[in-house]
Amino acid sequence: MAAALRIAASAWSSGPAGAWAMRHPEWWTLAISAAAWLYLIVGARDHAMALCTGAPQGPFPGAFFSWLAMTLAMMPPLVVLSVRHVGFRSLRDRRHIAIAEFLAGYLGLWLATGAILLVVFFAADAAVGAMDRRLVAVPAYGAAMLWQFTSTKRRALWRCHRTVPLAMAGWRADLSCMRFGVGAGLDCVSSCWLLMTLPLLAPHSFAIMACVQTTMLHERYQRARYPRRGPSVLLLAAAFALAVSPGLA
Amino acid sequence: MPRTRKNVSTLGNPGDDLDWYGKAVAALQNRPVTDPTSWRYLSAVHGYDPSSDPNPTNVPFPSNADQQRFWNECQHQTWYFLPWHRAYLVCFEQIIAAAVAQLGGPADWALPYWNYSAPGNNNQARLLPEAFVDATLSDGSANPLFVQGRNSSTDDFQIPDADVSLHALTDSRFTGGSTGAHPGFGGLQTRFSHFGQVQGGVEDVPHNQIHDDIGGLMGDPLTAALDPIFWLHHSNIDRLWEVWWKTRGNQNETNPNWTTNQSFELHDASGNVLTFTPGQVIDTTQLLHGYVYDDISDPIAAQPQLVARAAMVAPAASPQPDLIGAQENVALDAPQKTVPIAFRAPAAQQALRRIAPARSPRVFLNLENVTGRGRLPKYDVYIDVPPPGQDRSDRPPLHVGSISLFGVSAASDPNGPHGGSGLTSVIEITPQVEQLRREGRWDEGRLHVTFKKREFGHWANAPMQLKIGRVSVYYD
Repeated sequence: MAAALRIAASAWSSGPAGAWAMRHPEWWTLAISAAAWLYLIVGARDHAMALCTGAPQGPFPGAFFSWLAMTLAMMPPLVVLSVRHVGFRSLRDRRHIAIAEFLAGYLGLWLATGAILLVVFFAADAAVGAMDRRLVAVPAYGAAMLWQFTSTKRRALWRCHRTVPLAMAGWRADLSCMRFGVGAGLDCVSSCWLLMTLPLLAPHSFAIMACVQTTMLHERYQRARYPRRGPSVLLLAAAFALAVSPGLA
Repeated sequence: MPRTRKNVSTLGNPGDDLDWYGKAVAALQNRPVTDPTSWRYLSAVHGYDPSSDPNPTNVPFPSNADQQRFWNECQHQTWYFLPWHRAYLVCFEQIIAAAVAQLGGPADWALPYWNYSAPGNNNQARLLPEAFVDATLSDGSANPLFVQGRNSSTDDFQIPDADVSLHALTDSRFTGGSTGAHPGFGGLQTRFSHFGQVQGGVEDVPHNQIHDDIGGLMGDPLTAALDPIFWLHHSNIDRLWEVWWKTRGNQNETNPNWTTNQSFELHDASGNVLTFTPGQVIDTTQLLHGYVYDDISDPIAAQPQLVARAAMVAPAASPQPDLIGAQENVALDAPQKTVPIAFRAPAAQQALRRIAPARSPRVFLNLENVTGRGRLPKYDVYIDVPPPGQDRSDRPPLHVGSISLFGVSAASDPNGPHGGSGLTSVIEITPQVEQLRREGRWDEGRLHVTFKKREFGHWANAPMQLKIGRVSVYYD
């Protein structure tokens, strides 16, 4: 069995698929994202929709698990360039460990953010009581659109492009990869926190999640020095229209 | 009929292209900054920040929308470096030529170039052209080609051989390879890059080195184009691109992401907005009024060392270079600093097994995330500097390059487009490693990299505040 696995691994690494994977070490992070999207759409529909329709149903752990699924789905595509930096600036034999350490720091930051947001959300819900989430959509989406125009947002987006030097080996390498991940997470949260709050504050559908994801992808990868805000405003306007649409309760 | 850009060393007489350049520059300097054909506007297209503007700012400026659309567009650390600057220069040439015509000059005015790499004649080519040196003209009026603050008040900037080396011409690939390996003659594939990170081949040497050596306004991308020598410098860089592909027979990039999928907006002499893609600027005879250079002969053939280098750097890149050694957090806080880089034996052996059956590995020294703010010192980089007391007098230590400073300060700003990352240079040291192998002095287990601060001229008093995020070695 071990011999068969070694042969298979050798065939993989020396074949075209292996060559492609070597040039794209980010492949498995995107696979995780794709799997999380599939899970949200197919496997946990009721649970995710409960989260997304405003009143979290069930205990906090359930809502947090849904946040985890959403983070795994939406965040990895935004950090492909950082993942590649970590991969190619690491020793070949610890490339994927380094990437995993980076992602642990990055996703950990987003999970911590989600925990805080959910605590606030649950507290607000308890204090204010059930209210029509559509009424919350107006200030929520308005704030998100205005945030897109702030210099704080622009600087945070610029920082998403940064790279840091990484230690090569040992515990220092592990630590530097994780610290880079945490730092990237901080920049990402600074840039996108309001966008990611939208699913919590207002009713939405997977179409709205797709609008938010597309907004974040566009501003992360667009070909201009100053982020072009027009497309993100249009996407958020479309998401808002969906959010307040009576057919999407 | 395309115009001919001439070597500035052949100019300097009344009525020639250099003479009219000075007159036209003066005319552009009198135009308001709101005019896209003004000196200040053209400079801001390259780079602009109010904090480094030496000119009055209490004047009307273009709208924020126009500034965001047209200013701060220069492409650096990217495969768009050469085509963007070519389009930028040809629009500038048209604007200057229109001013020359308005002043009664010739209709076929063309931008001269400064070929600082021309050998012989006691390196006279490296002296700043005389027309740019003095603050006043012979009639006592202000010289429009003079600016304050350059690294020298004379024509001599003590530019060393290495800074004007044309070894980039020996790189046969336009676009750089994978992370850590050769950056390509033209640079690495990126998206729109006013905030790239890794220097391209010709961008590093001689382009960045001349910016560093002249200094002052030229030393900062945010002010460089305010110095009239900037345009002659970039005319030469553009000429080297012609030498590289037309004369030396190399191939430009054909990836649509380079040729057609990125466009740049610039103004012509009438203030109209023109759009260029890199693929559209390859043939200079078809670009606006069209131009050629008076000399694109191959300078490599006459330099045996570079001919030998061309053979050594010819092997194609492997699918993936290997990191084999690194040292992070190198603070250049002394005039000389030696950094030992121990190679990870398993990584080095794995790389040699992968590469060595076919050929010797190409070796790349990476100076990653170089950061520093304000006035920065210039360091030369050596390998094989003997330890103290073991002076190896049979030959000097092997100089492999110097640290580029152009753009480092802006790239180190945590609130700027680079997010504080600094810039990364990749220096191919394959020829020097081959020399050490021939001498029996190459150590398969380590490399000592020595950084030595320049102590002559302007560099002598520069504060030592440069940091290298990581010095690393890659095999490819």
